[in-house]
Amino acid sequence: MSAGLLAAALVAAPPAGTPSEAAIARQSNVNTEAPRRDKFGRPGSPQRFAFEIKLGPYLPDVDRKYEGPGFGPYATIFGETDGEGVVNDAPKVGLMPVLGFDWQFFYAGGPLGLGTQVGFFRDKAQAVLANPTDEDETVRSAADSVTFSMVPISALFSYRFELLADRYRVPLVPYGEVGPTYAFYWTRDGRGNIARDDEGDRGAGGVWGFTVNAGLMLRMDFIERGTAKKLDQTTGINHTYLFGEFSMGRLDNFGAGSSISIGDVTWFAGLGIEF
Amino acid sequence: MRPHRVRLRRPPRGEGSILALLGSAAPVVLLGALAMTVGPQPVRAAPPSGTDFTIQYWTTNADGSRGRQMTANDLRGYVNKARCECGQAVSARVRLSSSEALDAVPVRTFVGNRCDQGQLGNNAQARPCALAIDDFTNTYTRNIDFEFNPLWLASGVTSDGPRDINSATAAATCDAQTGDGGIWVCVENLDQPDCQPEEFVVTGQQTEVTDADGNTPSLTYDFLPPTINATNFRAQGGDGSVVIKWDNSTTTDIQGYRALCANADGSPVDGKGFSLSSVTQQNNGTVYFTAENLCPDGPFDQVDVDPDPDPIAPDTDSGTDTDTGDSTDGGDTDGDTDGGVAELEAEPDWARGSGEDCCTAGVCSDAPCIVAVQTQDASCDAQNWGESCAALATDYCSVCGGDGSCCLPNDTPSCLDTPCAVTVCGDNPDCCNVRWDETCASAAETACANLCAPPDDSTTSGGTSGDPATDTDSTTTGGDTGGETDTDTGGLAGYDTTGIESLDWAYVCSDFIAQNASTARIDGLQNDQEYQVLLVAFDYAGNPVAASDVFIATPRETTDLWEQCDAQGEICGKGGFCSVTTQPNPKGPGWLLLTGLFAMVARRRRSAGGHA
Repeated sequence: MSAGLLAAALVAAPPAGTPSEAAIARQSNVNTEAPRRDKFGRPGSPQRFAFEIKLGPYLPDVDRKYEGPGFGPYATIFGETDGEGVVNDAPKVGLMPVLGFDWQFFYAGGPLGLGTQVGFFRDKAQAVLANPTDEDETVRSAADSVTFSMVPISALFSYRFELLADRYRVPLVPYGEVGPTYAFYWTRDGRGNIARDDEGDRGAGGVWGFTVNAGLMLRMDFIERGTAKKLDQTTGINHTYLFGEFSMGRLDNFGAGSSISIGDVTWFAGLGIEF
Repeated sequence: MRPHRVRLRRPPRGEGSILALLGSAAPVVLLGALAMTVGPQPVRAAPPSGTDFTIQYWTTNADGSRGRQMTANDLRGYVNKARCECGQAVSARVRLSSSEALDAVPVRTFVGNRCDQGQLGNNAQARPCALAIDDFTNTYTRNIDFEFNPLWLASGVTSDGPRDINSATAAATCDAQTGDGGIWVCVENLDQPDCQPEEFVVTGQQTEVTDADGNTPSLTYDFLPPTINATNFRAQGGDGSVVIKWDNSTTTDIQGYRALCANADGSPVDGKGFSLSSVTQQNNGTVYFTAENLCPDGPFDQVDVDPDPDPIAPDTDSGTDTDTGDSTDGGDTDGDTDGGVAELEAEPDWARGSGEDCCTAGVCSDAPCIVAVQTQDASCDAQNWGESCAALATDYCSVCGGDGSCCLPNDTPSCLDTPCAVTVCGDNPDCCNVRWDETCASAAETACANLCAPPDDSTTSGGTSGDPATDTDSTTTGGDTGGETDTDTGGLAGYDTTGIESLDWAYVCSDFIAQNASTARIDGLQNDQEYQVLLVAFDYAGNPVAASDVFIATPRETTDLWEQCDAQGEICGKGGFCSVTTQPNPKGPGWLLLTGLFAMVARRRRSAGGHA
């Protein structure tokens, strides 16, 4: 080998101790491959499910059918009271936590899904004395409290318009959900037992109805896209959301004559993930 | 002072012929003399050790017959104040098992606690124990069964009386004592007459019972009711019920509660009450006991009790124990130069129950002080008198300048009179939670007038040698209370509360209420009818204490949502899970669902037609 060739070889070869390109590629964190896409062309891991937890004000519309004077029965028991326990205003709204789950089975500018949601609501008040006297300082019992509780369970068809978020990085996802709902309810008397009326009918049961939700989700990926991508790679969570929604629940056995009405028109806010 | 004696109802049992020899050291002295004079002495076999003895305990029925063998829970919580007052005997079995031949040496079985110290006859806190069996080794190789009054677990015998368990006089009553007692066995080595401390091979802790954790509990006696720390009791009428509430706080000795109720006239409420399936029923910490409940017809058995026994002279020499009898013959102790009496008078203050050692950590020898402090901290033991006990003594013991009286301030929460403490703390919880200060004491003077009245109004005399018989009567049989001082039930003038305050089981109106509870409901009452209610707290052994004053509450009918709906036109309809059975409302949104359904069906049909 001539001196010239040797010099050329020394210049071309990496100095001793320098890793090869293959080694650098193997150890690199930079993904040089094209981004993974699911069968609908969305980047990231396959997206099949959504889970959400939300919280919102709720007040069952029990008195909706009441057309008499004064307050309806629900307000009479659970309404705002004065110092003597007499109702002087409508009941305060309570809080209803809701858990929701979706199976996203098709993508058409956004996932179509079938899912369910379950909520819980409870209201409580001091029981009203049945026969208050002039000697009573209040018409409420100090010892007894009565409650009304309900658990609405819905089966919902949902659509989330994610095209703008997926293709153009607009972090907003409008969505809608609709479906039938069955709500269990029970009311307890001052002794803690399921209430009964004078005819012995139990104050517990269930009513059918429907629920319509419409809302807007804020896709949180834009805050830290790298972190969002890494979350997808490590856990399979495609997107995280903050959302708010309008909700209308009509729970009265579709207007059947003598059914209790425990739906409400309200709003919820919550957190959601797609995975 | 002449002891108050009650004739034994139960005759001596099989060991009577042997026990008849007791009370005199003659056989032992004779045997000891023989052993020392006859020679040459043969080689002795090893004396039996504690593990050679089997000790077992049984409960007994009202007639004294043996019940079931005691479990670990029984050992820990069966012997309470009520069983002591009723004289519900504990049956015991002692058996010696040894694979080796044994010399015939005297073996004595005692019942009590600290029997080794009691044998010395010079310790105020440990009197001689009651002697149950006095026989020789070979007799113990058979099962020896006997019954003893539970009082003997806590009390020694008077110094001047016999030690035989069937004829001895107890030096204490069933009051305010707690600890471990049991069978003590002394195997004499014949070096000295009578049992010496080092000759006790079974020391009260030995049982054959093992609990789930592998521990072997000893037989515990607890005659001390719990201290109440819960405050702010109130009773409110509910629908067919009364709800009682209180502010719970950390308590040390309370196992749980029971709520008591009575009609306004003081009679028990129909359908309420509690009865014991058997007098041997396991306590389990869910039942409280009083003598009036457990033995309403009177005690099953009684022992002689001298509630104010003569003190034991601190004779530290190793001589015979018969000299203690001398100390009892001198009723007049003033200015007497008699040697024995002078020696007694010269002894420390424990003899008069005023030992100042209670004021510092170490030991406490003042019995009233021990009792007073234990009402605040049951863990304070006379022989294990810690700093905290000494601190309590400065508040609760006159020997330390303290006074647990509710009428005077002290540096600790609460005071000794529970009803008064409950009353005052109901208005000012800090009195029971923080400190019984001047404000609390002042409140007590108003709220607990009888308690804080001048001494000449009080029912207790000024400590003169009055009539102890009246004291023992009140503790042993509570059947006739005589109607005295029954009118101090805070603000309940016009109500006869003696029934409910007796804690009779007929007034029990609740199940067991856990120690950490702060509310309870008494159901099954009539609306618009007044009831007396009372809360009772008790410890694991079942010693009760009234945790509240008697309250009056009236159940009131209340209305719930369902009844309100019914009253306002059946707004809520009918309950049930299948209520879509009535005619639909034409104005309802049901049409929307049906329209959608029809649209879907029509679309499918059109689609199917197109394909065809």
